[in-house]
Amino acid sequence: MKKTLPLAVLAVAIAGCGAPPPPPDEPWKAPRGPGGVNPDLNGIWQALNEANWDIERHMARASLEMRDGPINPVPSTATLRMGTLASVPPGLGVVDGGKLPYKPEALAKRDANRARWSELDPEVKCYLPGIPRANYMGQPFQIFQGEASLEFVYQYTGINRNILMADPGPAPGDFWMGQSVARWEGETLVIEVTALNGQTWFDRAGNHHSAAMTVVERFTPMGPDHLQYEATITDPETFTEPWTMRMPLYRRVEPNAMLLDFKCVEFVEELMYGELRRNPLPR
Amino acid sequence: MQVRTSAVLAVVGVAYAALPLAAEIPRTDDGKPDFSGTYDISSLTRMERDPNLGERLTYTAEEIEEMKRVAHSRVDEAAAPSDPDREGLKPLEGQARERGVDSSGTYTPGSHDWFWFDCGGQYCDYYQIDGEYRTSIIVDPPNGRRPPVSEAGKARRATLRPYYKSKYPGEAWWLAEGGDPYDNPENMSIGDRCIYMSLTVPATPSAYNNMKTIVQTDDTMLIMVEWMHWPRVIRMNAEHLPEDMTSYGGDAIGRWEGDTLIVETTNFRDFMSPHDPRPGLRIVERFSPIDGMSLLYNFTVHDPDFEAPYTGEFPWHKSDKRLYEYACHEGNYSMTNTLRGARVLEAKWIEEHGERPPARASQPGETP
Repeated sequence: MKKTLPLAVLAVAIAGCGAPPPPPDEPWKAPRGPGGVNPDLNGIWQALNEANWDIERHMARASLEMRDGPINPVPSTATLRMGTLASVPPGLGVVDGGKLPYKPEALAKRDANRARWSELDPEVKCYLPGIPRANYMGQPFQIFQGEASLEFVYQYTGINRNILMADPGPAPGDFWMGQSVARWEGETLVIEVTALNGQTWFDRAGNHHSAAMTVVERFTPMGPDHLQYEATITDPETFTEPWTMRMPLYRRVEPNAMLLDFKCVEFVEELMYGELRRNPLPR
Repeated sequence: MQVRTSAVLAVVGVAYAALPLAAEIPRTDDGKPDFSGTYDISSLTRMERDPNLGERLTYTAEEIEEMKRVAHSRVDEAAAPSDPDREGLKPLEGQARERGVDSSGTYTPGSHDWFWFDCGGQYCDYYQIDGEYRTSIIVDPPNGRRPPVSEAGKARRATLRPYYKSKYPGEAWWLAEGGDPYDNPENMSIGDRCIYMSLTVPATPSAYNNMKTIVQTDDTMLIMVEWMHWPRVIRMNAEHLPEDMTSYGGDAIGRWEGDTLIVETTNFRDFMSPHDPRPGLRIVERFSPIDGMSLLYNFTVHDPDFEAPYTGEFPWHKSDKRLYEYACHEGNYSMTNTLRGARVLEAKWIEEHGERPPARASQPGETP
């Protein structure tokens, strides 16, 4: 599907990811999906922002993981050799208000996470990223929308979310990707995500949550090639109040766009198990 | 969703006796059969036929009754409360020691008992097509077994890393016998490493994780495979990727022929053991509606390792069960424990037998 970008949508893209979309000049209504009732969300989508580095507003820095230097902080030994490749691109943030309403002890944990990023970030070990992080990891994901069925598939490690259109009640356990129950509110797909475990992060910057977190996501078509994504996070164990992140998602408009394999488990075997080889390699 | 009465039953020549009459095939807006839904393909039917059955395609009613009775009794036994006065598990001995594992509940290390295995439907079953129970999934060659391994296949297999059979795990036998079964994470099977399961394409039933979810759109069909959370994205009427773009699950392209969806998968990535995916493999699958609740799945494997292609088929039945998250790698303590355990056993062996032999790479075709 190849279409030109409407000016209003481009303006949103330029304005950055924290801003809600301005009203378009003319009312635009998304084409209907299978069954003819709800908007068609089918396609390959991707965030284009710095959220996976740090969802809060932040200036560029040399590394997520810094240590004390004689004059200024310097990158940790683990990230040192990466030079600029390990540096953090600046961003205005995707969080309403720019900063997260952490409880004091949770903020301390965030800072401790960040200081040991290369060791503790679940992404380093190719673990499942959880929600909302899966949606803005810098790789595309695909929405498959049938008449009565909905599935999200993420290129990162090939993880999926089976989106339930009927609430089965509380999940039988906790999951890395949670249990997703969806409904349509007009033009918006609303997904309530529960049963998330407490082991995933929001980003590489150590922003975290507990297993008490619930997420309400909202996907709203803004134009032929854009969705507005919002996620409201409620986690009284970690935050003093609920908070919301917002960002546009962009359609991958290349005519040959497709998900490819990013099965990163084998990429991290040397990291995770290399020391246990019969003849370990230099580390 | 349009529902049209269809003559597909007559065309495909298939009727599934155990299902309620649901001849209406759901269809998408463009009139194609809509396979969307969640399916349970579990079954006790084997891929290859018992050679004693020759070219016999189906079991007799008496045979199947006895086979189900045996299966049910195993499940009932496994589901019954355990005897509180039972003896403790014994260390592996006899045949169990040779196999390296046991599922009888007598020895340790054991396997799951029957309570945990998918054995078909609600209470153990075998596939039936046309109301008759099949003796194997493979229907061609007529003996229901894979064709002989070709010369090319023998040559390729001789270059593979040796396939290690389970052995008694209590000592570092490989230091005496040779081989490198636990030297590296890469020596483990691709399944133990939480990377891929070879039952993904063609789909075949297994001990558990038999659930699939299909979502069909205008230009794709997604088959979400529970085991290893493997999404198969079938692109409709598209071109295959260039040859150098390979993956474990391959590149799947679909097209319709009447009411049958034909999917051709190529571009497999090489892996080490005989039935794992690799270049040169081409798999053609056919999905045909049986009724509103079931489809007939047919596959032909064009594998240069064999003298001829082979074809299998079995029904997929819709299920009200759900797929759950298969977070394998995240809890894969077995990799660490297996490697660490091997290092401990090696140290013990050296302590008992003297100097550690020089490390060596495995030899092609080596049989440990």
